[in-house]
Amino acid sequence: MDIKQKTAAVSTLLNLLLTILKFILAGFSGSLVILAEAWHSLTDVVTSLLVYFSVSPRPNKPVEEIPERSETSGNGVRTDADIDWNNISIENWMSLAIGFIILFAAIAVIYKILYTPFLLIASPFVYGLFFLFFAGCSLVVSIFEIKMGKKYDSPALIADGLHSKADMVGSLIAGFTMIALQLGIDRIGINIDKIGAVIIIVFILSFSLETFVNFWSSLHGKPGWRDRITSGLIASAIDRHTWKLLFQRISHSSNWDQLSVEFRLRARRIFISLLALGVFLVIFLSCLTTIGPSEQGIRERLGRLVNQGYPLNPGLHLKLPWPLETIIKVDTFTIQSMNIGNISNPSAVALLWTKQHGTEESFLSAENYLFYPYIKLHYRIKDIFNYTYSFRNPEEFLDNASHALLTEIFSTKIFTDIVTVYRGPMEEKIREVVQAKLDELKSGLEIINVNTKDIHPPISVAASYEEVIAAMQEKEQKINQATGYSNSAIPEARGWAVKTRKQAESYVLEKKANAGGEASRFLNRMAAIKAYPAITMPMLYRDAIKENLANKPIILVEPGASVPDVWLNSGRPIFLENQFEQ
Amino acid sequence: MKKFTLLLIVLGILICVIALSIFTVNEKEIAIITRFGDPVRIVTKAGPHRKLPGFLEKVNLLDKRIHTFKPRPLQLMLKDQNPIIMTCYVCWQIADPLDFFQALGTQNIAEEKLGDMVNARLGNVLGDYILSQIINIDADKVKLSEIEKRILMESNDQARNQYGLKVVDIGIRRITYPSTNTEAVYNRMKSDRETEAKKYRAEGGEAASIIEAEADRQVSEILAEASKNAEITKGEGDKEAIKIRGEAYSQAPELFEFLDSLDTYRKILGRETTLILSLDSNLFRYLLPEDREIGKNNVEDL
Repeated sequence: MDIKQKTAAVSTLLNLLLTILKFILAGFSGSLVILAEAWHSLTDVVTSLLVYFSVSPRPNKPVEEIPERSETSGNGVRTDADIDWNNISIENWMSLAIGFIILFAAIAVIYKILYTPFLLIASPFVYGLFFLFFAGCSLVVSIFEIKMGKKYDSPALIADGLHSKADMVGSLIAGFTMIALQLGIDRIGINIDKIGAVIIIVFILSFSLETFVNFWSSLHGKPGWRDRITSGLIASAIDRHTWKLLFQRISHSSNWDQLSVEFRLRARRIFISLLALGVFLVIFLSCLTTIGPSEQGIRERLGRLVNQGYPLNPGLHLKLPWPLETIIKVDTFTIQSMNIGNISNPSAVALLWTKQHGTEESFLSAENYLFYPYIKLHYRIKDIFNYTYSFRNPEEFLDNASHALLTEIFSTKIFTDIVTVYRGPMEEKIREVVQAKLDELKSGLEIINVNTKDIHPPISVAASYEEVIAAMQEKEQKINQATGYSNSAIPEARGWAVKTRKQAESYVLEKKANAGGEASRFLNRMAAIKAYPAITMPMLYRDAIKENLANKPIILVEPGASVPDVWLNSGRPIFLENQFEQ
Repeated sequence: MKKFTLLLIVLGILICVIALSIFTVNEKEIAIITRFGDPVRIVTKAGPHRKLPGFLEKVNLLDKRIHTFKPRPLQLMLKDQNPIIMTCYVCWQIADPLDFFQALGTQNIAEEKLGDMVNARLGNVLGDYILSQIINIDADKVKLSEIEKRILMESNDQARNQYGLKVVDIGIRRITYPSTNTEAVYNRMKSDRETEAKKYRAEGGEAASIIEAEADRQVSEILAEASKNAEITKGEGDKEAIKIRGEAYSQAPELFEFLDSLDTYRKILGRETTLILSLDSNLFRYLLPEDREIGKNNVEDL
């Protein structure tokens, strides 16, 4: 193993170590820029590995002069235009395979960039420091390789050194992105994570492009782009020497001829590589299209619809570059809403009749009343082809057709019905009739739901409606009071009836008992009297006389005397004195 | 090297010419090709098409889909002199591309003209109808769809022949009153509500009276029934009592009369009673012995 091989091996191992570390950090952080940078570092490992192979002597073949500048075309310059497929070196195949792998990795990262929402990255500053350290490592590897390459005259090693320098730029981008995140740049709405990732993706894509070009060149035995152009470009851009030359060019405004050959070569290289990269990117990106999660797509090839009946579904799709194919994307899955009648004010806390809560466009009911309906329609695009090709603005038609039907319905219904019992049937009717019309004219729209939010009379009339409700309450109140009276009076009467009946019954009992007692007393007395009638009768008579006449004033009158003039009034002189004298 | 540059330039020009001779029409469009203003071809099929390059032939693209627009709201007088504001909508489509292109040219101009036409038809047609044919509780009397159909037909006749477009659908979006009339409507709504409120209140009074009267009737009925029953019961009791006593007393009616008289005296002669008695009453026959013999015929007198 000679010193060049050792250098390549060491740098390969170092790069591999850095790449592994970057992938681990990408897994931990979830950051897109770190993931992209990890893939970019993998390209570095691949380059270093290829350099290692290119500087190694072949054991099976006679060792020829290895054209080290073309590290991917390891088996050297071929003069024969015919391609000898058996003679393509293993490194060439490997570099091609890796070129493809890197390309797909780049597409995967692009897809992620497009569809990953912004993730909050924990402690980005730490990651930033890591990447600044990695940048330092790459710089060391680069200086080491360039130094060794110059010392032992190996352009492959120099080129790999330049690539390491480009990797250093990638690490710096990742590091500074993380530090910017720590400073809170995401808070002003810049997704710097994605921006950084896109820049690094461009590096990766340029690498895969170069790989393909080199493979193609080596097949035809042509020199092709020997160097890693982009890495050379980036390395040139950060090289002090380039800027010094540029500065000289500007400050002395000297002639193009006076410029150094080195600068002219470098400038041309920058220009050509930028142009090639730009064209490649434009073509590459215009061949890809993504359909969002709630979208479908129509493919038009030179204006002609080619996928009638088979809309493109969400995901990544390939297409011919512009202007050959155009993809029309339409959001077909999202349920959208539309106001029919009036639009309620979103800031209105409650939809009250007595407070204005939106636009007030009056409609007319069958009994000639003005009122304001607020209806919300939920709809969706059910046929992307009809939606795109039948109407210039299908939503406008939906709006108009719904309004027309509403006007027709209102013209035959009285307001109180519309507000109360007819709401549900009205919603159902709008859904059915408008849907039939939408289908008839192939608008491609589908009504999902009709929601009557509010229907109210004019604000100045609303109080009268509330007055009616108050009167209804009053009516109820009066009925309740009367029912209350009825409910108390009737049981009271029933109670009185029971009481009367009981009193009558007790009267009867008393009467009967008295009569029984009296009868019994009489019979007893009769028995006693009959035993000694001569004695008992006068005795009883006189007992009664004694009892009755005792202590009572008694006037005895001589039967022969004239009838006395008496006052049957006790307490007064019974006879007048003058009468007495007469 | 010069040859190569020349080749490049020729190639570039060729590409430009080809690019300028090809145009695409998509599924939404119709193209009218004009050669120096003269319409030479109409292309309705989507896809790539050839034409003379550059300014020699111009491609005018028209949108062949259905367009929808709202003419300005219009105040009208009905046959019964009711003023009314109507807003309608119109769906139209290009029927004859060439006529359309020559007569109207663009969508905006077409909609302006169509709006004039539809509003004029609306005025004409509505002059034949009265308010109760526009709004009515009886759905059979409402002629809105008939009105829409008439406007559609009349507008279509004109539009198809002269404007190169066809009216697909016309509908009445909104009917309302002019603002001067709205206040009157509001007042009527208010007075209707007041009438209704009064009706409810009166109904309340009526219902309450009915309930109370019914309660009173039931109370009277209960009370009368109870009194009647009580009297019957009492009468029966009296009957029983009299019967009991009669049975007993009838065994010795004279004795009963004697005892009952004594009882009666006891009851009727109060403390304050002054008695005037004849000296020759049986009671005092012993009081004046000079006139009468004491102890003679005593028992027989009783």
